[in-house]
Amino acid sequence: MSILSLFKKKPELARDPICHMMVDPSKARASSEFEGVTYYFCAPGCKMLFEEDPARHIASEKPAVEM
Amino acid sequence: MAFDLALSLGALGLAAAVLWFFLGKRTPLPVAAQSAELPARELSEPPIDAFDPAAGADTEQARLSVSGMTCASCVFAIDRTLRAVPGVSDANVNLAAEQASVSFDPRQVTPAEMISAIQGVGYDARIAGGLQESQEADEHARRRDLRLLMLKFGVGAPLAILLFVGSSGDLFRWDPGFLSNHYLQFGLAVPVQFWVGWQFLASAWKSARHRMADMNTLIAAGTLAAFSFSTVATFAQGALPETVSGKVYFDTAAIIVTLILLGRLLEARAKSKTSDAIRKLVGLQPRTARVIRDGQETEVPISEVRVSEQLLVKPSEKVPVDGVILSGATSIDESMVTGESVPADKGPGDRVIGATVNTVGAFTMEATRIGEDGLLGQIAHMVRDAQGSRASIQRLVDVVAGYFVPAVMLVAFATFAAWTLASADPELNRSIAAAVAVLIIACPCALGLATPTSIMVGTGKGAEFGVLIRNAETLETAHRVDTIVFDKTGTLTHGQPSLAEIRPASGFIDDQVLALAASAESLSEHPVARAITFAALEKGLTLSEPSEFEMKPGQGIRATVDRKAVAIGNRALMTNLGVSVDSLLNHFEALAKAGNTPMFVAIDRSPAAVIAVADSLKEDAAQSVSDIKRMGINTVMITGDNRYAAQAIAGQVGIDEVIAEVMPQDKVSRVAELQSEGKVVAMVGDGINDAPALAQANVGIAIGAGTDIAIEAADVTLMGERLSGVVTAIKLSAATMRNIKQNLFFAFVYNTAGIPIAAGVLFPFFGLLLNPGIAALAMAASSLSVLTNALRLRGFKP
Repeated sequence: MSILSLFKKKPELARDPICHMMVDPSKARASSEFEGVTYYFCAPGCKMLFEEDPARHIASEKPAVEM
Repeated sequence: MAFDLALSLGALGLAAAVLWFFLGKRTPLPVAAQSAELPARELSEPPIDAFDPAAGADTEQARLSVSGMTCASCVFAIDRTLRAVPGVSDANVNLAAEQASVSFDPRQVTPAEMISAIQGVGYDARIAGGLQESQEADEHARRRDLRLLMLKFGVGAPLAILLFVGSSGDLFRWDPGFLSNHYLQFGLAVPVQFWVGWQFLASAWKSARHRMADMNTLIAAGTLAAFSFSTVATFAQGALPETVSGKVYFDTAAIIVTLILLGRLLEARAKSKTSDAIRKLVGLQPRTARVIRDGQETEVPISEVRVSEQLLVKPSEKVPVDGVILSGATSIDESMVTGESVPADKGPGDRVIGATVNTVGAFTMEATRIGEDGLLGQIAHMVRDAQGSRASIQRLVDVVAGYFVPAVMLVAFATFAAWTLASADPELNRSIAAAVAVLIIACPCALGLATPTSIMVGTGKGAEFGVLIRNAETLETAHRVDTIVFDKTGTLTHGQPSLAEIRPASGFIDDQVLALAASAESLSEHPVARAITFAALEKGLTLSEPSEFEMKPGQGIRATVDRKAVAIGNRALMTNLGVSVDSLLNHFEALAKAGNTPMFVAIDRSPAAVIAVADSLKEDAAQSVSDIKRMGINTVMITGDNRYAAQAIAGQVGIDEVIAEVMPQDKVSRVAELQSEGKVVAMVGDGINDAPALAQANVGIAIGAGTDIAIEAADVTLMGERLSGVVTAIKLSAATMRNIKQNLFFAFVYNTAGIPIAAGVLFPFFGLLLNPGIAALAMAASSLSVLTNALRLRGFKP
């Protein structure tokens, strides 16, 4: 991270519905659309899990996979 | 004042000279120049049973490096993906290590397929480099450390010089007056004290927490005392008693830190590159293998070979992996692993070692162990483990410091007490100032140079006598060696067979048999053939070219010389040719028992003689061994050879203890055993199989004519073949240690002499207290003495 980036505005972050990490949508490595909403993921693994049962994961309050 | 300033200037000049001396261009030592090529010969089957063809060959382990994992779901996804691959029985993914370890059936799946499965779900993976990769990481860290040390020295040295100029007042005409400004000096000293010298502070703190005092404690205590005192003198002059106010020691602290860092830098540069041995080992492996898949021969990268696959090996190719011969007969040059130059005869059922060189025959084999499980991989592992686990011997400097530091602390405390109690009007800050002055003067700046300078000169001296010392600590260790373990073949012996004896059957004359045998062998490149031919030529016999010549891998040769059918070989050859050798069996066995390699010679299908070759001792072997024994050192011989051959050689050379029939990877454990008995062990060897033991031993000594890998694993390399260097190395070590001890004396003596002054012993009489001039004087005198003394080592003669 360069010093300049500290002065930049914080990007709007999206929550990864699987692991609940906060993800910068512009840099997300994976995304998926479900019922008209785009979800962003920290990594392809989360996308994979999400797409298996999107409805359940959106509803879930807890991360699908605990560390 | 002018006197000690002149000396201070001398110290600076000396520092520059030291710099040039050690950091100037150094010519590389010509180690690699004459490596390898002198493999050895063997009397019995090389002991390669080292590795059992896997007990559980159905499952293999693979480690994959996986990148791109960010959270637990990645782990989960990859874990599930891997388990879904047919043939994978278990997978274990570690997020932090970025690794996956997988158990799989090598007949169903390759690591490459697992990698593509992982890539399929959006991550990147490759086979974890294991050895090579971690070695590279080590090497990388080592280089980074060295670079950092150089940078720190590069920053510390100019700052220290500026501080020195500044505090030397009017000595330098060009001295810009502002340098003597204490505030500026403080600014210059801070980075030296806390960045350049950080490692001393950190190590001292670590030792202090273990209630130990070592060299770092001394450096930290001395420099911090000097620095803090000077800081107070700069910013709060009023706090100091009049007698010592206005004096700053920023230059003392900075010069000590810088000079000691220079010592560390020199040591780091001299540190051996442990990784080279392993990199070279890995480099020995062939890159591709001919695999027979579905009856088709395909050439594949070595990493794709699976256990129990069938491989084809053609003449003069390297054996790709460890395995067992299925069909075909050949001889394989295993000298790189065993040190034995005579190719080992192999047939179906015999084990072969990856990276050894096939000679004449083609064969098919089944792969039993691949990658790190192979013998080569195991040896690499052992070398690394041994290098990591070897017991380090406490550095002499630390031993000395262990006594000196507490003593100094005690004196400092006593000083404080004395000033408080004995003074007519006790003043707390004056007592503190005196105690601090003791700490300042007690830290000898030549301490950092005492060891490296002797070692540098000693190393150079060793090179002059053909003893190349790669590892500075070796010189501190070698004189303590009380047991020397010798490898036999190629170390005590030439490693090349020569003719030992001919025992003709009745009716045959030895010269006549030798002439025929030598003629028959004259077309062969085999070491045994060369030994026979050479012996005949030496005797002045006339050889004739054979009109017909045939090599029988694993048996011997058959040729027609002067219309006579000559056959030389083992019993199997004779049986095949229908020659009965019963009448010669007695001779054969007697010669074998005496440590020779006997062969039958048949002329026109009748048994003519037993001809025996043997590995001969090096000319200086017996002399060197007896020199070593005279120094009171135990000698041990270790070999993979059979007991008879081993004892025969040991008897000739005068070695008392023989450890024979040792598997290649057991040498290291025998050395470790000796060490666990409290012995300080030196190992002398030349082969790849000696490499782990060389690394394990307190001092590993490689024969310069040996394999690169042995040389890389060892601490000392003897140029050429001669063994007398072992004695030289030990004597040189003793001389160097003596020199280091003298240096330590010089490093401490001037500063120690300064302690009473600092403590204020002279104050009541002369009003003399420690001043920066005295500190500089002590620094200059000790550095000069240390350097001069180290150079005296140049007069060493073995």
